[in-house]
Amino acid sequence: MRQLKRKYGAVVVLTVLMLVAAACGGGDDDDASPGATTQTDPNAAMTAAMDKLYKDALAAGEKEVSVAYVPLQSYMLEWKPLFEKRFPGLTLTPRDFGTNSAWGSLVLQELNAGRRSVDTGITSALVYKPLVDAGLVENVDWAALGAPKDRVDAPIPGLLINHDIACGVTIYDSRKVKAADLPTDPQGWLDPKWRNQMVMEPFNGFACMAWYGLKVGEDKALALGKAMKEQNGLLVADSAENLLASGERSVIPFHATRGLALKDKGVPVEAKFLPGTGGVARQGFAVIKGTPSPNATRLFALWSITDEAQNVSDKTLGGAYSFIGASRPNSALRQEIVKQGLNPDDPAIFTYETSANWVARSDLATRLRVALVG
Amino acid sequence: MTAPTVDTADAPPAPGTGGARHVPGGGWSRGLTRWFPWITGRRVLAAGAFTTFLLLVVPPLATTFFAAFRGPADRLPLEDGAYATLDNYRAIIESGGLGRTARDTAIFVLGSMAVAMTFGVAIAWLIERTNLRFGRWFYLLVFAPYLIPPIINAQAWQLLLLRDNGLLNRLLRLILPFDRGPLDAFSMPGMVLAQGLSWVPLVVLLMGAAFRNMDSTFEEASRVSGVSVAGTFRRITARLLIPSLLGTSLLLAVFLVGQFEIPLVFGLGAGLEPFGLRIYKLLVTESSVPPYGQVAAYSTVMVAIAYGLILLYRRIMSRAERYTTVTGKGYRANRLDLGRWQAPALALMGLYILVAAVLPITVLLWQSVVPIFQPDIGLLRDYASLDAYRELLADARFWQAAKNTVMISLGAAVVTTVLGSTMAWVVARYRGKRLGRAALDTVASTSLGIPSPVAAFSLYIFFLTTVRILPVYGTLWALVLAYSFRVGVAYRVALAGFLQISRELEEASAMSGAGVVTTLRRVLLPLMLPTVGVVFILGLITAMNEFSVPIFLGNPETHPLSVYAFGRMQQWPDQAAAMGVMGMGVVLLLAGACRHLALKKAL
Repeated sequence: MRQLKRKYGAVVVLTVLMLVAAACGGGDDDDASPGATTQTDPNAAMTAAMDKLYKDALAAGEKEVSVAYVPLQSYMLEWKPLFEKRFPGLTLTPRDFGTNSAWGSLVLQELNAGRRSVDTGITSALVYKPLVDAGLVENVDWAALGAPKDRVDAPIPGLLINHDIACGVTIYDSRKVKAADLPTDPQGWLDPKWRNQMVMEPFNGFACMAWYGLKVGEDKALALGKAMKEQNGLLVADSAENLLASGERSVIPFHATRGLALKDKGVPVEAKFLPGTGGVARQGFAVIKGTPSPNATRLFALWSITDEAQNVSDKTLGGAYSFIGASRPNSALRQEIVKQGLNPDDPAIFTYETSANWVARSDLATRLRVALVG
Repeated sequence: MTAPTVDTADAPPAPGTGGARHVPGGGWSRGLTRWFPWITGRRVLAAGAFTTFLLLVVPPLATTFFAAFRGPADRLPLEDGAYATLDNYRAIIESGGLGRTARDTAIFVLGSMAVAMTFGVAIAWLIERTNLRFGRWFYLLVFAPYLIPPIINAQAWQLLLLRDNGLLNRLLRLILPFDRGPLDAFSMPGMVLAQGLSWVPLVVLLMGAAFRNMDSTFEEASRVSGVSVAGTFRRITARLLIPSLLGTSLLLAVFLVGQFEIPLVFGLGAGLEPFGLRIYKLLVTESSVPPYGQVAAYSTVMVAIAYGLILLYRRIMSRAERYTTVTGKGYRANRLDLGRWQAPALALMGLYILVAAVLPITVLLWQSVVPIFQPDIGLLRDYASLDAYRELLADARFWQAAKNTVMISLGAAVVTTVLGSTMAWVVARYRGKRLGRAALDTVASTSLGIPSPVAAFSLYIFFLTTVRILPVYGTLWALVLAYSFRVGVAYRVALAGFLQISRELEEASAMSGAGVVTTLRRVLLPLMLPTVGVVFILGLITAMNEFSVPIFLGNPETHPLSVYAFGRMQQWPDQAAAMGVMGMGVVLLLAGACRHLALKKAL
């Protein structure tokens, strides 16, 4: 008995010592493991895929993932330490393209110039288009890597949907306008009471208006836009949200929920979806061909849809840029839509951007913008 | 005592020959001159400076002109599949784009010019030709708007001219019977008012010099004959000033053609799309690779207009001597006694300074401490904080942009100062035929006629086209070279300085055996140091505030503060304003150093 106790006691002690050594020891890069996280991944398959990608990245000597973003996506800077903590040995390098949200063509120029550019970036199908046309976007099978189905049904092949931008929202100054005052149909914007009250952004505004145009036809959408401008003094300006916040104008029609971010600045604004104008534009990550870090880039894209990452980006801009899909039921944007009594999964209310309609919508947005502001 | 040995190429001509007297050279140039008599130190410097300048200007412009005739529009001119075509011009004409852009540019330029000239000439006359009290102080305050970086200045004017909540409109409604407005940022009048007032300092600078140098004898004779002050101004003063007025207007028009900041911030809402904004919209496109060919086509039209104006300006100024009042017989520049008009004149000047200088600076300070601007003292009291400054100073991107700004500005200031000063010295000391000197002067001033957006696009497309042999694209060097396009300004300021220094000093140095470099270093440079210092600091200030070049040519790693500030303007206007306030502080220090050097020179 004494001998048995000694034998098994030794085994237990050795096991405990090994576990302690594994937890505390650094080891070399080849033995590195992902750092601990308190947030959950969408599913076990994706976790396993990320672990494999991580090991493959280290084995291949990949060190850095360079990511394009614009100031509105400044949560990228908060993602950096989280990603690097979970995946030691990899560095996330965000590249802020500033006001040039159409960085796709800039990246193409850098690549054509033989220079190291970005490995991926968070943006829409439209911005990726120059790279897609040049054959520089990898058609990654994200579903095979465990990504939920509603994250891979993207407008362009290879795009992993990170978040959505819900259009069809009217952002209004609650000091001057009540929800009940708002029109229930877009033609209601021609009511004289909205004269000199409306302001829209030139790019996002017509991108959102284009969803309406897809439903009712270009001519009707164009006629509405012209009438809003000529009869009711619709102002088109990049600083639309600032003009609303300062009290200069009281409503932004055909906007996205991003306008709710003004609340963080103490501005009393609210949002209301206008039936018949809802649309969901999708933004995400795609892997650019020729990247020196293919495994690390895929790993980063997958990690960006985990709760750990999404909980951070959800807090930005009032939750405006968050995922609506059913695989993330607690996202800020999905909850906002539900709060307004709408079903985010109802295609009659929200038209989702797909490979079948994104080109038509983008082209329509451009034609509306050119026709109304030049 | 033997006469100093001189090289025959530089030997003084024999008495009575009437030939040009050459400054003898020494040192390394002496040996070179023995074998190549036509090579002198001055010619080497001249060739070096002008060749460098031409290399800086000609290849990018040539690339733009070449690209305008290459298609398809979204291909670089030497890219596979590119071919010669007129399609770019056809496209911009048939689409109506060129017509609309030309019309909008004409409205914008003429309107802004009218505002700038009206205020500028009146202020310059009051300060230089009357006994207006505190004239020197007003002269300094007129230049206060130059403290504000142009893109932030556009933000300030937008906040002043918002129809309901603009600070200027709120103040105007205290005395005028309007429910809204009366001014509107998003309208053509609002845009030209903001742009015009921003250029009043330049008009005051140029017209002030003209008024200062005008003999008052004719005006006195007119008044003694019983003509009123207004009549004297209209029939005597204005006529004598015709060349200066026209010259200033034309120079202003050249600068306005390339103006970009206010149209960018105001333009969309105002429905105006001048050339600079048109080019920006074409280059910053979401849907595809930019239509380089069409942008090049627009650029060539802009350059043609700008150079046409420059040629007209030079023609007018070449005939200016017909209106000379200051001669070797001496002149008087007596000041008109304003008498009972002193108080109204002071009030008008005070009002101008309030609107053009005090209010923009005030609104920027205000915006920098609140997240959203609203002209309400109560809200200011409740929400004011230094958060914007704290967030900026804690942002690594701000420091990266600041570092980029310092490096680019210093590099560009050095290039423009050395190049501009060398070219100015060559032209100032040129002894050849008048036509030769005029040609050199024209070449050196060439860059003045190139609007900033065109300069930026030309270098952008040149660097992209030649990236395999000249890997400058996307680096800080690209921006240093692009900023150095403004060498024409440095040249003109340095030329004025060199013309004031007698060449006898250099000749005496050369006669003592000193070479060109030694003469420059030990004789000319100490005398020119204040002027060169002013040129350097002006170059530094201009580079620090530059926006239209880096917005086209920069990338995330090379963005200077002006582009970074623009990027913050929509979502974080308080941070953009805070950057403007900090920028003003730096420019104020540099301007003070500039003035100190200028005064030192005067002594």
